[in-house]
Amino acid sequence: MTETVKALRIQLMKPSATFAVPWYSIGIAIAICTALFAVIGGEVSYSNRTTGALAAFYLSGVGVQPWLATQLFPFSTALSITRRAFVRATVLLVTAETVLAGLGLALLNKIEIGTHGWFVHMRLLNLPYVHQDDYFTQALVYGVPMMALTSVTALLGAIFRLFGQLGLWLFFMALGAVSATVAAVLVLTHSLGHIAHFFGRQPMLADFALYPMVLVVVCGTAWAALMLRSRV
Amino acid sequence: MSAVVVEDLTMRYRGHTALDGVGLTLEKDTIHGLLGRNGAGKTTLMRILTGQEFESSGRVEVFGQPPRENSAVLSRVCFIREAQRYPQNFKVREAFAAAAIACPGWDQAYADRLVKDFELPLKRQIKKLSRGQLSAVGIIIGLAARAPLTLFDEPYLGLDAVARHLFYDRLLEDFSEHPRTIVLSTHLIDEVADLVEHVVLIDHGKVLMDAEADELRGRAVSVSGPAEAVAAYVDGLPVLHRSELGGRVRVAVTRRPDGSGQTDPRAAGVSVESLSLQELIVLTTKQGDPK
Amino acid sequence: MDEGRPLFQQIAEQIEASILDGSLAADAQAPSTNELAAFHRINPATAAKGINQLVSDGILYKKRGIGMFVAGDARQRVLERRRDAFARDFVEPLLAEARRLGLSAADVRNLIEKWGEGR
Repeated sequence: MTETVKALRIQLMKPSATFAVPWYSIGIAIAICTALFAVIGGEVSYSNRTTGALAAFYLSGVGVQPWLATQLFPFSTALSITRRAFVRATVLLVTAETVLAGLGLALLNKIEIGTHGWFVHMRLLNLPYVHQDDYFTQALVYGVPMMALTSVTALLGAIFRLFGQLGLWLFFMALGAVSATVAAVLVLTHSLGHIAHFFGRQPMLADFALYPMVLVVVCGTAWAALMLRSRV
Repeated sequence: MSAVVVEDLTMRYRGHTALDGVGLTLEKDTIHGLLGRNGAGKTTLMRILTGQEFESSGRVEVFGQPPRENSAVLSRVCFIREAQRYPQNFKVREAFAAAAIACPGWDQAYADRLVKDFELPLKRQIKKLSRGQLSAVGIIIGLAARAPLTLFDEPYLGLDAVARHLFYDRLLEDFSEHPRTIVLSTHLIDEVADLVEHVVLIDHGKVLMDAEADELRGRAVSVSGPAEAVAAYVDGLPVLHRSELGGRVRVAVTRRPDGSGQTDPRAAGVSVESLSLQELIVLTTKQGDPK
Repeated sequence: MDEGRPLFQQIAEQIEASILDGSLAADAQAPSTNELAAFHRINPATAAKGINQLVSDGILYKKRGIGMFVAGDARQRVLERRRDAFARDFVEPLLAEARRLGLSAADVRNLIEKWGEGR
C-alpha cells in the first residue's frame, strides 16, 4: 500500500501539469466569456448567451495522461517504483480528479444559476442538455465524461509509449477500419435509425453517466495491461 | 546472502542476443566493477537486475528474490543510468523531492551538500540543464538514496575529469561510512581500477572475466627483448598479444596465478613490465573478438 | 601506484616506510582504513587488507574501539625484515648485472668502496 502512496505522491508533485489544468481553463473561460458578454451585452439577447466554453475544461486536460505515461512513468520506474504501484496510483488519481470535477463543476453550476449566469445571463455550465435537478446526478453528468475522456487519452498515451508514433498511427488506422466496418454493417441492416432512437430515448443521465463507463472499463483495462507489460 | 545471484541468464531481442548464459554473484557491501565495451550487455544486465527489463530465460535474484515487479526488493535498489530521462518540466529540486519520496534511505542533508559540491541550480528546469548537470543530478540521487544496492551505469556523461573525480571521492567517502553494495559500470577502466574490489568483464553478452581486482593486478605483464629470450621466458604461458619490430619481440602474457616459474628477467635477458587493469581488459576483450 | 604489485602490499609498504623514517613513531596511531582509502583514492577493503597484513606481521596492533597503533618494536621489525631482504632484493641483482658486464666480485667491491667514501 505504501508503494502506491509513494507513486501517488510523485504523480501529484506538479499540480500545474496534472489536476490543476482543467480548473485554470474553466476559470479563464468563465472570466473571458463573462467579460465578453459584459462588453457586447447590448447586442446579444439573453436567450442567445449559451457558450460551449465548458468544453475547455475537458479538452485542456487531454495532455495529462500522455504526459504521465511518457514522462513520469519512466522516471518513477527508474526510482524503483513498480509498475503495479504506478497503475494503482493513477487509478486513484483519476478517480479523485473525476469526483472533484463532478462535485466542483456542479457547485460552479449552482453559482452560475444563483448569479443569473455570472451576472451577464450567460449559460456556460448550465447548458440545457446537461441540466439535472439533483446536485449529485448533476455531478455525475459532469464527472463521468471526464473519466471517459481520461481513459481514452491514457490508452493513447500508453500506446504511444510502447509503440511510438507508428503504433499510434496504426491504432487509428485500425480503429478507423473497424468503425467503417461497423458503420457499413449498421447502414446495410438499416439499424442506424434504431440505434439513434435507442440512445435518444435513454434518459440523459444514462447517456452521460452510464454508457461512457463502458469506455472507461475498456480503455482503462487496455491501458493497465499495456503499462504493466512495458519495458522502461 | 549475496546481493545478486545470476544463473544462466539469457536476453534475446529480435535477431540479437544481448546476454548469453551469463552467470555471476555479487557479494554485499562491496564495490563491483562491471566492465566491457559499449553494447557488450552491461546495461541490459543492469536493467534486468532492477526490474526494468524482463529476461528471456535464466535465474535472477536480488537479495534472494526475483526483482521483477517486486517492491520489497526494488525499494532497496537504486539505478542511475547514463542518459536518464527526467520529466522535462520538473525543476531540479522536484526531481530530488521525488527521489526522497521513493527511496527509503534518502539523506536530504547529504543531498544538499552534494548539490553545493556539484554547483547545481536547484530552481532550473530539467530541460534547461547541460549534459554534465543532468549527470550530476543522477549521481546525487544515486549517492543520497543510500540504497543497499546502488547501480551506476556510466553515470558521468558530460562530466569533466574534475567532476568525475569529485564523484569517485564522494563515492568512496560515503561507501566507507555507509557500506553498501555498489555496481559501477564503465569503460573508463583506469579511473576506477583502484576503487573496485571485484571485477566482472562482459563482452558480446558473455562473462569473460570474473575476479578480485587484487588478483588481476599484475596478472598480465609485457615481456620484451630478443625473440629467443622472450620465447624461452614466456614458454607455456597464455599469450594475449604479440608484436615484433626489428628482432625485438614484445609479448603480453598472463602470469601463473601462483607466481611459479618466474625467473629473474634480467638474468633471462628480457625486461618485464606490468600491465594496468585497463590494458589487461583491452587485450582480453580483443582476444575474444571473432576474427 | 605501481601496476605490478597488489595494492594492499603497497599500502603496507608505505606505512612501513613512514615507520622507518620516523614520521610514524612507536605507539602512535596509524591512519585508519577510511583515511587511507580517501587519501589514496582506493577501495576501503584494499586499505583494510594492507592494515591487516601489518597487524599479522606484528607491525601494528589494534586497540579495540580506538584504532590501529604502531607497535613498540615496529621499527626494529621492519629494519630486520628489510635487512634480510636486502641481500635478495639488491645484492643478488647487483652481482648478476655485474657478471653480465664482465665485472668480478672484486671489481664490485672496489666500486662500493669508492662510492661509499664520505657517506
